[in-house]
Amino acid sequence: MLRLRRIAQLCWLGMIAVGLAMSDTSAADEPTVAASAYSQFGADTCLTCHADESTALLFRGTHGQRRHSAGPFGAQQLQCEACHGPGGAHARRPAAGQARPAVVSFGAASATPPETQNAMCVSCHRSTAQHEWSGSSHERAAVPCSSCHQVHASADPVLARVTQPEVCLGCHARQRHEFALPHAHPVRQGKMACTDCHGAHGTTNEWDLVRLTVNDTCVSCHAAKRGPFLWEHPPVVERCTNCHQAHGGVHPALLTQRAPFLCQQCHAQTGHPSIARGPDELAGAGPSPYLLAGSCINCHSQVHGSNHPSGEQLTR
Amino acid sequence: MRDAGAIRYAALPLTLIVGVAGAVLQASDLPVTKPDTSQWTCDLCPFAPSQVTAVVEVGAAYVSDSAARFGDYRGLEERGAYGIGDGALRLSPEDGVGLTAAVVDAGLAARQLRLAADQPGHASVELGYRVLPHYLSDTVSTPFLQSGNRNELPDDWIRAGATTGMTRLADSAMRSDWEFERRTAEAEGRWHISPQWNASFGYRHDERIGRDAIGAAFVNLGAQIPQPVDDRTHSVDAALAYAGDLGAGQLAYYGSYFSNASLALDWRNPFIPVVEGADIGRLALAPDNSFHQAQLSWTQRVGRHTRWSVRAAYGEARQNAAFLPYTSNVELLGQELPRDALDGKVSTTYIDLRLNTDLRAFGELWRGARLVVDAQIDDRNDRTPTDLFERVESDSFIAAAAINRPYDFERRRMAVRLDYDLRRLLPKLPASQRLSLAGGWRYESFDRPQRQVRLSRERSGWARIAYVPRPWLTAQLELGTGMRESGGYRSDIVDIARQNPLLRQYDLADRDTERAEFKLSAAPTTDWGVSLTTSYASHAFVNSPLGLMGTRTRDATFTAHRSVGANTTMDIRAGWGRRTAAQLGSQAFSQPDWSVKTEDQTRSAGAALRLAELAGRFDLVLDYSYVESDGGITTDPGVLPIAGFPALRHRMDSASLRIDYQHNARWSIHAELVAERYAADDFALDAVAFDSIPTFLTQGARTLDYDLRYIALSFRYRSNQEARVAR
Repeated sequence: MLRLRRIAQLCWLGMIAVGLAMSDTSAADEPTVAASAYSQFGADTCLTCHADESTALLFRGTHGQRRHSAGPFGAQQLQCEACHGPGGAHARRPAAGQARPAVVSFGAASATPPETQNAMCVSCHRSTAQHEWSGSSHERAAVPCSSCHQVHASADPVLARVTQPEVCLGCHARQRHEFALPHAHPVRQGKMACTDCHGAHGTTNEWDLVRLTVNDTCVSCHAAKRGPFLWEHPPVVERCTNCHQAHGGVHPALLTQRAPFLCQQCHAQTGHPSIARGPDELAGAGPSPYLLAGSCINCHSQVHGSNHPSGEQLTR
Repeated sequence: MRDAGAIRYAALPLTLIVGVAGAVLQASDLPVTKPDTSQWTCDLCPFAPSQVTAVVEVGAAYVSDSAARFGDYRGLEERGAYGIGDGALRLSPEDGVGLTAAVVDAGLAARQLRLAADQPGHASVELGYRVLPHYLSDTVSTPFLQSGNRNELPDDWIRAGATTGMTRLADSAMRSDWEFERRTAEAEGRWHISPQWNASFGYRHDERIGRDAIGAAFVNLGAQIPQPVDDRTHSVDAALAYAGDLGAGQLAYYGSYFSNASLALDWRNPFIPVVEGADIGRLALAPDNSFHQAQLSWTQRVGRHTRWSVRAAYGEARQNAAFLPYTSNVELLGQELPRDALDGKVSTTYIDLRLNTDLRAFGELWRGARLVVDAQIDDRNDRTPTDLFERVESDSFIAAAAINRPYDFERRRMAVRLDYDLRRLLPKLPASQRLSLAGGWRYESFDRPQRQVRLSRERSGWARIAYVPRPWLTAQLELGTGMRESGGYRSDIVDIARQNPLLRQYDLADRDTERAEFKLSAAPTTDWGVSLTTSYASHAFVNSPLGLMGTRTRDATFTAHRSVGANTTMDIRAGWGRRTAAQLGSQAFSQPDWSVKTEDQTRSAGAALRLAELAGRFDLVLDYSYVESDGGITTDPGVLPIAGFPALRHRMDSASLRIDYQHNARWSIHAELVAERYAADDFALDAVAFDSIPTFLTQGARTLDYDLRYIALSFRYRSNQEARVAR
C-alpha cells in the first residue's frame, strides 16, 4: 500500500511538472483580433440583413436582454459579434468573384469547427469553462455548445426539467431505450432531468455525475439508504450500481437481475445454502417464499443495511 | 476503523502548493482588443418591451380506467375526471428585476409551483414546490391494520401454522395501496458579486409521506406488512466561485440531514408462534442520519495549451439514532446493549487531480494531440465504534453474538487518455476529412480491509478510431479490454466461515472484460439524418468456481429524423438489448452442483410526426411508442432435468395525438388523446394470492396491467401575443 501511495504521489508531482514543462506561455499562435475587424454599428449592421424570425427570438431570451449588463446586448457589449465574432469583413460587400467571409456560425452542421464555436461561448461563460469542461466527455467528443443549448429562443429547452431529456436523449439513444423499460426513473414522465444526476459540462468522476461518487449522487435523493448502519451490506456501501441499473431495467427496483439469482451470486452460506430454485416452486405447484413475491427480501428486507442490534442478517 | 496514521496525504498539499505557485507564475492571459461600441445604439434591435404576460390554461381530462402504473409519477391513477390548471404570470421589464410565477398541473397530485425573480447578470432567486406521487401497486390488500408504526391484526384473527389455515384472511383483507408522495420545497439563489465572483445557495426539503410494504419474518414464517413512509430530508448546497485570469475555483458546502418519523415498525405475528413469545416482531427502519461535505476545486490554465485542475473534498456522515432493544420477544428480554446508539461516524475524502495538455511541445507531429491524465482517490474511513452484540435472531432465538464491522475502503484510480489527429500522419487525406485516433489506459485499485478480498486491481485499455469522410457523416469504432485481479480470498474475515469457500462474489472476483462499440451517424442535410449505435460487452469471472461466471450485454439503437419544409418533422427510433448471465451454485455446500442461465431481451420502437401551422391554425403531434421485454431463466439442477421458468414479459403500447388550435392571438384550444396498453407476465406475482405460499403471507400484489384512454381538452388564454413565445 505504501508503494502504491508513493507511486500515486509521484504521479501527481509528475503531472504538475509535465504540465509546467509543456506549457507554452507565449501567445504567438493566438490570432489577435484588431478592433477594426468589427462592424461599424454592431447589431444594427447585422440586422440590416438578418432581421428574421430566428433573430427576433434572440431578443425573447436571456442573451438578447439589455438589462443583462454582462450579456451580449448589455451596455458597451459586442452585441451579435460577442458570439459570432468580428463581422466587419462579413458586412462589407465582397470583391467580385470572392465569397463573403464567414462569421462564426453555430450548430452541429456548422462550417465553424466545434472548438471555435465553443471558444466563443466560454469567452463569457468562464466559470463553466474553467472548471471541468476542458477534458470532459462532451468537450472531447467535440460537441458544440449549440448542440444542446438554444440561444435564439425565448427559453432554452435544455434548462427545463420537462424538455431537457428530449435534448439529451436525441444523442443518447441507448439511454432513451433504457428509460422506456418497465422499471425506470421518471424521466419519461418529465419529472426528472438528466442533470439531476449528471453534469453535462463535465465533472471529475466516470459518468459525469453531479456529486463526487455514484453513491453520493444516489443518496442525495435516497437519503434513507445512506447510513452508516450498525450492520452494513458492503456492496451497497461501495456502489449502488453493483445491484441496480441507473436508468431503467426489466426487473423491479431497477435491479440488474432477478432475486434470488442476483443474491445467490454473492451468497452461499452454510445452513442457508445456495439452492437451485426451479419452476416447481411457483404458484400452483409448490409455492416457495424463496422465489415468489420479494424472494430473498421477503425475510432479508433490510438489504441496504440494518440498525437493529439483532439485524446482522438484515432481517430486522 | 482504519489506523488514523495509515493514510497520510502529507505530500498532496505540498504538491498542490508547488503546482499553484508555478502555474500562477506562468499564467498569461490573451490580449483583448475591443472596438469602440459607443455608437452601437442597436436601434434595429427588436427588444422585448416591458410587459406583463399572463397565460392561463383550464380544462378537464378523463382517464378511462384506474391504473397505478399509468398514473405513477403523473398523478392520474384513478378512473375519472381531473381538472387541468396551468398558469404563468411573467413581468418582463426592459430594465430591473423580472418576476415569474407559474403553476403546473394544479388539478393533479403531481403539481408544481414556481416563483422566480431575476436580474440577468446580477442575481436570481427561485422558489419551488412540487409533488411527485409514486404509485407502486393498487392491487394489494392486507389483514394488517396499520396505526403509526404498529401493524395489528383484527381481534377475530385466527392464527395458523400456515397461511392456508388462516380462515379469517379473506374476510379481513382490506385494500392497502402501496403509494407515497415526495413533496419537495426548494429555494435557489445566485448572486453575481462581480465579474469574477459568484455565490450560489440552494436549499431543498423533501418529505415523503405514504405507505409501502416490507417483508418481515419470524425465522421461516413471514409476511408482507404495511410500512409507513414518513421521512424528511433537508439538503443545503452553498458555493462561492471565482473565475478570473488566474483560473477558476470554487469553495462549496453540501449538507444533507435525513430524519425518519418512525425508527421501528412492529407487527403482530399472523402465524402460530413457533417459539414462545414470538408474538410481536420489530423491524428497525432507516435511522436519522446526516452528511456534511466541504469541497474545494481549482482549475488553472498554464500557458495556452495546458490546464490542470484539482478537486478535494472532505465529508462526514453521522448516525446516532437510539438502538432498539435486542428483541420484542418478552421471553428473551434481558440482554443489555453495549451502547444506546451507534455513534456512527464515517469520513470521506475525495481528491482528483487532472492534467489536460496539448503535446505540441514534442514537435509538429504532435500538434493537436491531447493528453489527459487523471488521478483520483476516493476514501471512506469508518470510525464507528465496534461492539459485541448478543443477537436475538428474528425475535425467536438467541443467536451467536456478532461484532459490527465498520466498513472502510480506499479506491485509487489513474487514467490516461490520448487523442490524436491522424491527419498529421496522412498528409494525402483531403482537408475536408477528419480521422482521429484516441486511446486510454486506466488503473484502479480497491482496498477493502473488511471484505474477503482486501485488494483488487483493475487495468483496462481502450482505443477508438473516428472517421469523418464528409462533414455530415461520422463513423466510430471503439474497442476496450480490461482485467481485474484480486489478491485472493482471506480467511480472517468472520463471514468466510459461513460462506462456501469456493464462492467468489462478483464485485470482488477476478474478471476479464471485453467491449466494443460502433457508431454511425449521417445528416446529409438539415432536413434528414440517421444514426446507428451498436455495442457489445462481456465480463468473464475467470477464477470463480462458484457464483457468477459471466455476463454478456449487446444492444443496438437506431434513430432517424426527417423534416419536410419548416412545419413537418418526423422521427423514428428503435432500440434493442440483450443481457445474458450464467452462474453456478452449490446446494451441497461444496462443489458446484447446479447452474442457471438468464437472458433478458428488450425491444423498443417509436415514431413521431409533428405538423405545425396546418391551415395556419393547427399544430398536431402524433406519436406511437412501444416497448417490450422478455426474460428467460433456465435452471440446471444437476440430477434433475433442466427446467425453464415461464417467461417474464412486459409490453407497453402507447399512441397519442395532440392538437393545438390557435383560435386567435389570445385564445387557443388544446386537445390530447392517449391510448395506452400495458401487459406483463411475472411468475413472482402472477397467481400468488395472500395464502398461496404456506409460510409467507403476501398482500396479493399482481402485475399492473391496464388498457386505457386518456382524453384532455383545455382552453388557453394569453394576455398578449408574446405570451405564446414566453410559454
